[in-house]
Amino acid sequence: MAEFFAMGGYGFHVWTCWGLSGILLGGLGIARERRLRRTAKLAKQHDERAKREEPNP
Amino acid sequence: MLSYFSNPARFEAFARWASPLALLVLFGCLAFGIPMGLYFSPEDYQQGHTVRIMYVHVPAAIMAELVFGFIALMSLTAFVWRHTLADACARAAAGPGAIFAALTLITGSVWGRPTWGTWWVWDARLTSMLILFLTYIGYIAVWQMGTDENKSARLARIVGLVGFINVPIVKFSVDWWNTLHQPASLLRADGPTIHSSMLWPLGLMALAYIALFSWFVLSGVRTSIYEKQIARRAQPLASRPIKPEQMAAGDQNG
Amino acid sequence: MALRRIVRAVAQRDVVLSLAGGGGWLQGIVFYAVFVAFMAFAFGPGEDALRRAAAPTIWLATLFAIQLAASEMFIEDIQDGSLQTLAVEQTSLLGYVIGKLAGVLIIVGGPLIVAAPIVSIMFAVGATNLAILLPSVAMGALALSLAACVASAINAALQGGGRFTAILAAPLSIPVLIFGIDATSLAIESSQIWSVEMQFLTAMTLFLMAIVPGFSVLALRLGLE
Repeated sequence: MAEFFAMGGYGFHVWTCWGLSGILLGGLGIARERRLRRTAKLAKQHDERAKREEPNP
Repeated sequence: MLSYFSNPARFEAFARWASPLALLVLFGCLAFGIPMGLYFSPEDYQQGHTVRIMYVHVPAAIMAELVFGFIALMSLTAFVWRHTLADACARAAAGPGAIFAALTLITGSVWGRPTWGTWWVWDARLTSMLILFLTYIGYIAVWQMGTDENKSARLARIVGLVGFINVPIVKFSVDWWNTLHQPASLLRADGPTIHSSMLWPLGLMALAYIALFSWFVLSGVRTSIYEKQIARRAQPLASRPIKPEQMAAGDQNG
Repeated sequence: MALRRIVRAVAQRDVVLSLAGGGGWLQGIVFYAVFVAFMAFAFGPGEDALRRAAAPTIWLATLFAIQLAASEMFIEDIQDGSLQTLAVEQTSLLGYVIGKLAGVLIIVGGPLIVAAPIVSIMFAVGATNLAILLPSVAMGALALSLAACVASAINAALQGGGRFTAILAAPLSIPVLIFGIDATSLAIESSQIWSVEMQFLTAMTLFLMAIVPGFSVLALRLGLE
């Protein structure tokens, strides 16, 4: 196991690259998903309120 | 097909099944790609374990270039056919593209440390990636700076197109500059000789990145559709434009 | 109005304004002189170091001076409404953009091109005929103005206050710098005027000439809406 993490002496380099890739891409992914959910919810609220206020067409 | 997706409601319906599919492909590829890349693939006879950096470096580099091509294509589509969703696509792609470019630079630099002996070398490909990163920053700045979203969208098309035309020119000039000023470096990261056991994790990771990017675009466009809906609701009734549903009803052949 | 007359009228107005308004043309050359002096201090008085730094110094000073001037080339006309007036009168905005470019080249580019041989003397360049570096520097001033022009038009349309011209112009300016510095170095060192680098610099300039005016007009029209 320790051997796996050491990566033949290059553990720092390999894990930095994989870690940063995961953090940056994953972070953007989570940020986007949260923003999508928030705006979708907000849009739905606006929609329902609009329907209540103008039931004409 | 282009005009098919120009309708927000239809895009929404498409995204509803395409988004989960993209995530499925992403996690499927990662489930095999990560263990293969980090453990099961052999180490390079020259570079040892550092070759494992390749599995995150090369896909990021490919994506950084592809994504700018995508932005240019969407800019052109928006330019010629005036599809507003094309603008939203280009906008949604810019952030991930910049991150792919940044990751290429960072992982290239960290890979360069054991390979070249320094953190940074003005290697032709790293240098042109740096300039591509600057282009991304400029493109994003246009979206961020403007106060009027419609105006920003149309200016961004110009930046996307000019930036894309400029990419091969930058590549050529940087190659020229590099070969003239920097005699052959100690050890090239050109190619650890790739054999099939390395090709598999590389292909899987590349596919994962493509799936991730697709998901980024889908979710980004959906967000901007919702944002537009909210903005429309917030407007007073009289100045409200025609709803997309009504537009679609009148536009049967579209 | 014919295109040529618009170009001339706009360029003339800018030149006259900068001469009368005390400063437009001085600003560029003063910046240039200060930058060159700083570079000399940075590289030290040793002749070898200075000689190597001559072409890069000339080019960087030109780049920054032009960007300084060009970053605000459209903002004033948008803010005081004169561009609006031109658009309403159906004046060709293409002519306006070319006129503006000509103005920048005369006001800022002209003095810089004249100053380039003086800098090369101060930077211990031993060439006998200093006029030999002029073609590359003049071509570079044109190319760099074009790159700054489209960036400045986009920036003006965004009403961003000139803060993003540099980042937008950078990707277009870098190839110009790469070929230009080499072309000037070769001219200084081995008296080659029409070197391969100079040919690429010319090609890049022609390319910019082909795309910049059209896209600048497009951006300015958006800025007027």
